[in-house]
Amino acid sequence: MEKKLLTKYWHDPNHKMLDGYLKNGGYAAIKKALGMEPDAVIEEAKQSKLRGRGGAGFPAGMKWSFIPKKTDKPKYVVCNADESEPGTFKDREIIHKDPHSLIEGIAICAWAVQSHTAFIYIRGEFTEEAKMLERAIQEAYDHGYLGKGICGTAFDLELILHRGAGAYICGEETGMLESLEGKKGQPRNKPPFPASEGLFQCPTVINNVETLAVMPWIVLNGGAEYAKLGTPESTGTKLVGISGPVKRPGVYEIEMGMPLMTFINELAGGMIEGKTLGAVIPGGSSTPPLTPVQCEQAKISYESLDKLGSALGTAGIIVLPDDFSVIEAMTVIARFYADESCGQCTPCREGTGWLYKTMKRIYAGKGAAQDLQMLSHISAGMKGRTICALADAAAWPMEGFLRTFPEAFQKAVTPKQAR
Amino acid sequence: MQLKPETKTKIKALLERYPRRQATLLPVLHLVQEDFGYLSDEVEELVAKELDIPRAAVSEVVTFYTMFYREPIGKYHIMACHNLSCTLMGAEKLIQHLEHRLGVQSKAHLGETTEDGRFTLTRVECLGACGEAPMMQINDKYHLNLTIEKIDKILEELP
Amino acid sequence: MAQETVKITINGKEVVAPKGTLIIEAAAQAGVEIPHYCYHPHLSRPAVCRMCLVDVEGQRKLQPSCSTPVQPGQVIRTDSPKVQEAVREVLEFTLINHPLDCPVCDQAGECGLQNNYQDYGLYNTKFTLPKVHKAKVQKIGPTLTLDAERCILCSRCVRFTDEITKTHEMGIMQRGDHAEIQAVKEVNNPYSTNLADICPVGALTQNDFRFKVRVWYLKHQQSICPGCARGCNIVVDHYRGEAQRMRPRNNNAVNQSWMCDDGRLLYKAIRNEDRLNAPMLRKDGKRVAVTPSVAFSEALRLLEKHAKHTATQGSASVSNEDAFALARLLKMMQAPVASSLRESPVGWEDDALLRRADRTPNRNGVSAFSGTEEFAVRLKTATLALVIQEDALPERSLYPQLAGVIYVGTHDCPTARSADVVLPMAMWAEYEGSFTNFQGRVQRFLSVVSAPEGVVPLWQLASRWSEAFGGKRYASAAEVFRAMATEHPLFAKMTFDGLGEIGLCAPSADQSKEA
Repeated sequence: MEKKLLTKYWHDPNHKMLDGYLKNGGYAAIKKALGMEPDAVIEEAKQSKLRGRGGAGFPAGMKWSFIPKKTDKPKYVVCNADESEPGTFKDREIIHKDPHSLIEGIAICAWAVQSHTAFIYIRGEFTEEAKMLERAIQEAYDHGYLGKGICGTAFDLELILHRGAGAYICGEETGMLESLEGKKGQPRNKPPFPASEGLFQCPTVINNVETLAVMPWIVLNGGAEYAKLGTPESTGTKLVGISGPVKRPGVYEIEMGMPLMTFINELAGGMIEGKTLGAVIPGGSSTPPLTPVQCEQAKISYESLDKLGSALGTAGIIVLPDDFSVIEAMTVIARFYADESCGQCTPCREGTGWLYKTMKRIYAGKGAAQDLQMLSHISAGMKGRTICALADAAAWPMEGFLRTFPEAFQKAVTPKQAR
Repeated sequence: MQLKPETKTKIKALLERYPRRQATLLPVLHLVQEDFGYLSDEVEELVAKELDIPRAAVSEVVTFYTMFYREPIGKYHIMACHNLSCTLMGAEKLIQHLEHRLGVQSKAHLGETTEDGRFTLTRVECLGACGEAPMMQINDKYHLNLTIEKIDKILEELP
Repeated sequence: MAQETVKITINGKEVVAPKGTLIIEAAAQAGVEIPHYCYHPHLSRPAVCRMCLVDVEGQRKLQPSCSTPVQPGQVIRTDSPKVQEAVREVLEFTLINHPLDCPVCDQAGECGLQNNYQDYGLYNTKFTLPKVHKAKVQKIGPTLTLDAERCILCSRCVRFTDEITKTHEMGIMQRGDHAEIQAVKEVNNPYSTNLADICPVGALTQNDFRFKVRVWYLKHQQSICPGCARGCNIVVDHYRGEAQRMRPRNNNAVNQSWMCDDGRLLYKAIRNEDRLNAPMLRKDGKRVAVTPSVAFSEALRLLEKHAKHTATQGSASVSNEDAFALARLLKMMQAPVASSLRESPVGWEDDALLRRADRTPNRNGVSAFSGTEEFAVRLKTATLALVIQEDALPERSLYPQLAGVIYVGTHDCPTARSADVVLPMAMWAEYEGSFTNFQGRVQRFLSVVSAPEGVVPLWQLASRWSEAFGGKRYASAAEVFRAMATEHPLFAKMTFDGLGEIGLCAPSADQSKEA
């Protein structure tokens, strides 16, 4: 059922230590990569058709190829470990069980784009995970996988672990760059894109933890081999997290294209006793919910979920039981985005707050019929008009919940005596 | 008030690692907050001076990120997740229990602190451990798959 | 070298703009106004207010025109339904947490929210929820009051203090809809009041002007700040014959969009208690007020009598026309030209932004008509002293051979008190003329308010006196300027009206000093 490329050795408690990692064949990929032309490494990444695992799904190899070859400026690699999208907890698992895969992936990326300084931006709350990574990085330095002349070559690579301090928006790649520069995590206008003017105005690649951690496999086995897995538009495997009242919540690595209900019922063991599936948020809280009927049609892939009006996002599945109020669920989601809006763009700053306040009123039973129209109006007003996608990420679930559960919303704004 | 000499040494090392002084601000604030417990106006001034960056830049950052505190907090900072996965698994009941047990009101950003200064109870957004919901963080440590009984035990065992 | 240009289409109209121009600027040059809050031509462009979104053909999303440069062949619409809807809705978002306290807000009448609401909004508020509350009426420095609730977080003030003055007093704290503008220290830099100008709403208001006059009663006049050799381009707002405030006016070559706080308050000198309002003669050791014609004739009598034995102290504060007319008079009197100008009052140094150590507005222009010999030296042999504006002869008793002293100036001073004839002259705000700034740029100022009755500018006095020596009497500043332009290379090929709004530089002037 599971397809274990990245997670193959996660059962081994020593795998997270350098010794165990090496025993399991670790750091062979970077050695192989260092023997290849950097462009050839980029080519493998391209061939894999691996789409960025942070949520936006931009082809990773393509991203690497945008880094200018000839430049006087230093180039940077930034690993996005700011995992904060509600319902998402796969990167934390990677850090816990396989930190060296991540470090090796970063080294591969750095070689491919010829960067000598890399950062891991880890969310501030991951204090224990930061310590785990710090230890793994030290091991890698001590054994020549990082630092001056890695793996006995002339290639130098510094890796700096940088802790955030509590702001979801720093997961947005340019918000992350601002934060790394010691500022508020307010996303930048694009263009210029990070590939030309990123960290400290220098060419920068930013990749998610999972994206980088799977790179060693791709280098060892070839991009084409990776692309054989999954579906043509969603190649390879994916770490999928599942939370909510299911029997075995957690993170599973599967081949892309698995039917959603197979995942829920087989891997996660189905709903816990006494609970019935009411709705599924498939890819973190910004992806619109699916009804049980839609869940039957859904596959875990970019294209299948797109077609159903939702998205794969971070593949953090949240299962809602049918006895849980969708009004409460949406209120919680709206609160989150209102809290996390960085506040610079007017539609997002004001719109997220407005959505939350309206949802809160409806949830408190004080809503009015016109509130529903208002929610649609606010959502439409926020979309596509801001610097980054947080406003959209707040509007999508709002529109999705309204579309998917019209009766529940209607009922919620009807005065009790009239129901 | 002054920065500790060992903190100054650590800051110096950070400044050598980053190409720009301001880039060290987040790590420096983490360090300094560890020393002082929270970031007062005076501490912000010290940091600005040490890094040779404008005070406004420090204040903006301190107030933007939830993990920097502008006022003293309890010895144990309980950060209870109230996002969706945890709510689905009963977080609200657990937070109510904590409020009742500690006699304080939970709030987002920074909740109330018990009179004895032992606990601060804050509601936080998703901490990325949804598979083990409901959960909370006490200072640096995550506590997962919580129940009322488990919470009571955790609190009782705290030194 | 010809500048590279780009051809674009805005609302169906073909527009040619220099390469690199931002859409919002290209549109403005073509007469298409795009609403905005955060954009300012002399500050960085964060593109956060989202009011200036435009439709660019081929782009899925609307683009912020303040941060998008023109591209060849771009087809832009600012009037499509999609754009209009966006502007309307962004404005709605901007207003939901705004207190809407226009009746008690001093910005009313020149508020970006009011203006855009008139142009693009006009709906009833749909927001019926509690607003976010923030700190009100904070005196954040000697010149400014901050109301954080009115702030729409455009960040112009933060960028001004970060990028222009580099004093870093302002910051936006918190995030989301709790984001709040704050001063982390007293805003007490020499350019602080510009914050009130660039604040598009009533969040930052100027202490000196708050609640003085509703702005819709104000009339506006183009002028030049007389505070230093920079000559910042300004507008003087006036009401019922009184100047109420001075504001900077855009001139990229001189002051961009800024002026300093000291300059801004110079309008107060117009109605200062030391102002000389009426002519006076000294009789029996006492000063008595006389009519203008009596004073004028007495002065003329002295000038005719002493003619070439007159020592004249000029002033770097008078206009080019004043200095030219005076020089012409002295020439006809066969008197030495006015002596070199006095040192500027101390107190300033040149700063990196605008202020010049030379706190006179027209040293560069007046010098063209001045001699080099010290007034003090000339005084030793002269029998008449003609002192213009300066307190150059505070101790007359040191020069017993002096038979007479004529003082022509705007304000009372020791020299005026010991003069035999005191003739008040009009101040810069009371007549029209030109100053030449330190860059050699000749800039025009226009009359804002009336001078006290019977008080005229120096050029008029000088030109009327020169009639007695066979000279022509000038009818207007423009006429003086015409004569000056034919005689002096610094004004060659210029005309008074041709100076326009931003002035002209003589070809011989030092271009390297251009800002």
